[in-house]
Amino acid sequence: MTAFDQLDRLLAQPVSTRSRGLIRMLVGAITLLHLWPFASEALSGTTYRDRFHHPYIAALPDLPAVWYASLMIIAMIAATAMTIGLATRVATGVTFAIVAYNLALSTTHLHNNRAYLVTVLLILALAPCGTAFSVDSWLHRRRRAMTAATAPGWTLWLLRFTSAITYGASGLSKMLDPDWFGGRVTWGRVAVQEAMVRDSLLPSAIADMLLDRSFHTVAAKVIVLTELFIALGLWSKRTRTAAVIAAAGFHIAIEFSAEVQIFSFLGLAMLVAWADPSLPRLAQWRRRGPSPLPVGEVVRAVP
Amino acid sequence: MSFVVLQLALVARAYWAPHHEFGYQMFPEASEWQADIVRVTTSGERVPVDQNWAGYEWNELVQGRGLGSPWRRHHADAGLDNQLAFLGEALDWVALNTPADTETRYLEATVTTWHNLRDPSTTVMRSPDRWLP
Repeated sequence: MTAFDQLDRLLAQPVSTRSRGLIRMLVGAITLLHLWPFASEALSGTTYRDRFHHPYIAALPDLPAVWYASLMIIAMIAATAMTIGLATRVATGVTFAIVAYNLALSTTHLHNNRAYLVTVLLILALAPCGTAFSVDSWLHRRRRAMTAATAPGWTLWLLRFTSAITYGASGLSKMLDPDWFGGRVTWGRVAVQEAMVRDSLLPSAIADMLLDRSFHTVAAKVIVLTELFIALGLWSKRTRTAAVIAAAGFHIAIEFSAEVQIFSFLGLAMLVAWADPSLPRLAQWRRRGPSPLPVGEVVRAVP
Repeated sequence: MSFVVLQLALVARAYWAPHHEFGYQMFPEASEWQADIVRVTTSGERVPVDQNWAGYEWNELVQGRGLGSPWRRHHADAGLDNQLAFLGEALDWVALNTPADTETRYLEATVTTWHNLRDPSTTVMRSPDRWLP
């Protein structure tokens, strides 16, 4: 069997859809957070066309303001349906399409966190993520219909890859930049805010350390290597737990120290992709053995 | 596999794209910038855009991406390349989308940049000439 065949088999291997369902719920709620500023502004009569914008895809048609506002409302409804898992496949597809359209209307809309969001939405639109934690699955159960509790794992692998690449690309870009790796960038960001650092609740010894250029020579390398460790460590079962903890700490620290829109929430939500696919039934399954799982649900440990 | 290859290609492309889209290059620089933007009128007068004109206000026309109040020194949002590209596009957009202004020939920005807080350097950017009736 060739390496390609092995990869093909791995991607086709059926795994529980529960973690994908949970990611869908979280990402749906995060998408609502993302859409709200656009929708509220459009409802008040202002759109991107009323001020500087620069098309990311120039061929896309601009809609009249009323249509644009209606589209934002449709996106909010679709993201709500996606969150609760109602008509999940359609809702997730519509959410992805409108979010992608809105971002492509102007490069000013495209931040890293939004590029991450639209990539995740595309994968979820392709994924069977409506068969767990959803109104759809509840309705199926009420009708005593069978729902597919497992599905090929390739979309889960894509979610994992997308999660890992954000850390990898970020860490690599910093490592290749001598200013970043040498500590000049982190020191510069702190140094220009010296007055704020000194006025903060930090003990003066800590403030002095943060403002010391030589501290950043080491700290920058720790940051870069942490990002790269997360990107690589997530792929091995041995290091995954440590990488997930590091990533969670990383996102929490960023959320409290910088304005990153939805990035922290999305980064944390995507860590679910690295849990066992049957999450959060795993603890119960381990305690009692596989019998509590519905008939037909195969739980496989994803390497 | 094509999805993975596409993502990797986008990450690589971001090193050359001015706005680094899909490159996930977070907090890339500590650079700062400041721009003195003027409207050069048909009579040759140079009027700073911090003064409203013909019913227009820079901070209403240009919002987000760190482009508000450019006459003040700012952190360069997502790096200097990205910031200067946005500023150039904003100059062009303002020049083309202020029809009530019948006296400005073009906009010009004298931009001072501090790359990762090194010594300043200066660049001049300008919009295309406007068509005036």
